[in-house]
Amino acid sequence: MLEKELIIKCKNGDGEAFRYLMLNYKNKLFGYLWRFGKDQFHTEEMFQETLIKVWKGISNYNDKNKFSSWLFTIAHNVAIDYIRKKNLILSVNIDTLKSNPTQNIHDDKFIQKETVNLIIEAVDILSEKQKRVFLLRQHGELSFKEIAKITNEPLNTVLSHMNYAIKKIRKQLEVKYELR
Amino acid sequence: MNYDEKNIVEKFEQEVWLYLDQSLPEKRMKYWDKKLEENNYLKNVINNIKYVTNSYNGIQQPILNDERFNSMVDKTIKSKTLFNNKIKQYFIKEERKIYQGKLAFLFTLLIMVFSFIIINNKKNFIKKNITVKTSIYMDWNANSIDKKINKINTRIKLVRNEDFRNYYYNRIIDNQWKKNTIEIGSKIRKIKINLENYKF
Repeated sequence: MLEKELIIKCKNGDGEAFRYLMLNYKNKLFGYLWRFGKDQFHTEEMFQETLIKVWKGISNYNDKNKFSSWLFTIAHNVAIDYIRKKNLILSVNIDTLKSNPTQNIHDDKFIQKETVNLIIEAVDILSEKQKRVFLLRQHGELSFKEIAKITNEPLNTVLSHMNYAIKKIRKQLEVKYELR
Repeated sequence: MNYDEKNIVEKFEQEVWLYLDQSLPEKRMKYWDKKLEENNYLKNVINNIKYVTNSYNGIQQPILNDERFNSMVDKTIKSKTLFNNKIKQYFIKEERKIYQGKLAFLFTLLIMVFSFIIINNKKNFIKKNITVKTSIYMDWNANSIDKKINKINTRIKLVRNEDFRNYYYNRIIDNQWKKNTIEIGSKIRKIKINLENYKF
C-alpha cells in the first residue's frame, strides 16, 4: 500500500495503517533516537513519545511536505526535549555498540570493530548542531533544505555544519590511525 | 595547491552536498562535472565525504524488535480515541465555515443557558437568605407567644378557683413583688376581721 494511502487511513483513525506506516521508518527512527538516548531504555522512551505525537498529530500533517521530513521533525523535537528533561549528555554508549556485529559497507568491505568505535567516538565529539545535522542526514535521509526547516537554520549554515562534521570525523579517524 | 585551486575547492565545498543531491541548477551541475574531471582536489572532497558517510552507514544500527514495536504501537493507538480524530477532521474539511457557524450558534446558546442558570441561582440565594431571616423572626415570636399562653393559663386557673380578686390583680399587675404584697395585705385583712369577730 502506498504511503499516501496509509496516511489517509491514519487520518481516519485506522490504527493498523499507522502500524504499517511506522514499520517502514521503525529502524531509521530508532537508530536516530539511539544516538541521543544512548541506551535501550531511553531510546524506547523517546521512540514511544514520538509515536504518540505522530499519531495524535497526523490529522495536522500537510501532504505537501515529505512524511519522513515531518516525522523526523517530531523525533528531533522529542529528542531535544527528552535530553533537556533527563539531563542526558549527547554522547553515545560505545559499549552497547561494540557488542553489535559489523556489516557490509557500500564498497563491500568490512569495517573492523575498532573502526566502528572510532566513528562513534568521532561523531560524539561533534558540536551539538553539527551532530544534529549529520544524524538527520544519515538516519532520516533528508535533503538539506528539509534539515534546514527542521533545525530552523539557514541552508548555508546547515551545509556548513555538515562540512565541518565530515572534516572533524575524517580528521579524528586519520589521527587515530596515524597514532597506531 | 595554488590560490585558484584553493578558491575553487572552497566554493565546491559550499555546494558539494547540493551537487550530490543533484539539487543544483543544470548548468551548475555540468560545471562541477567538468571541474571534477580536471581537478583531483575536488575529487578528494567527494572521496572524503563518501568515506565518512559509508563508514557511518556501515555501522550496524540498533534494532527495535517487532514484538516491542507492536506493543508500543498498540499503546499509542489507545492514547487517542477516534472521536478526537473526527473532531479535528471537521476543521480540516472544506465545510469548516459551516461547522464554525454551527459552533458559534452552539456557543451562543450555551452562554445563554449559563447566564440563565447563574441569574436563577442568584435569585435562589436571596430567597434562601430571606427564609433564614424569617425563621429567626419566627423563633422570637414563638417565645413571646409562649409567655402570653402561660399568662392566660394562670389566669384561667385563677378563674377556676374563683379567686377573682387575685385574678383581677394578676390581670392588671404583672409585678410579682406587688402581687405578693397585695396578697399578704388581703390575708392580714382577713385575719383582722376574724379577730374582730372572735370573742375572748
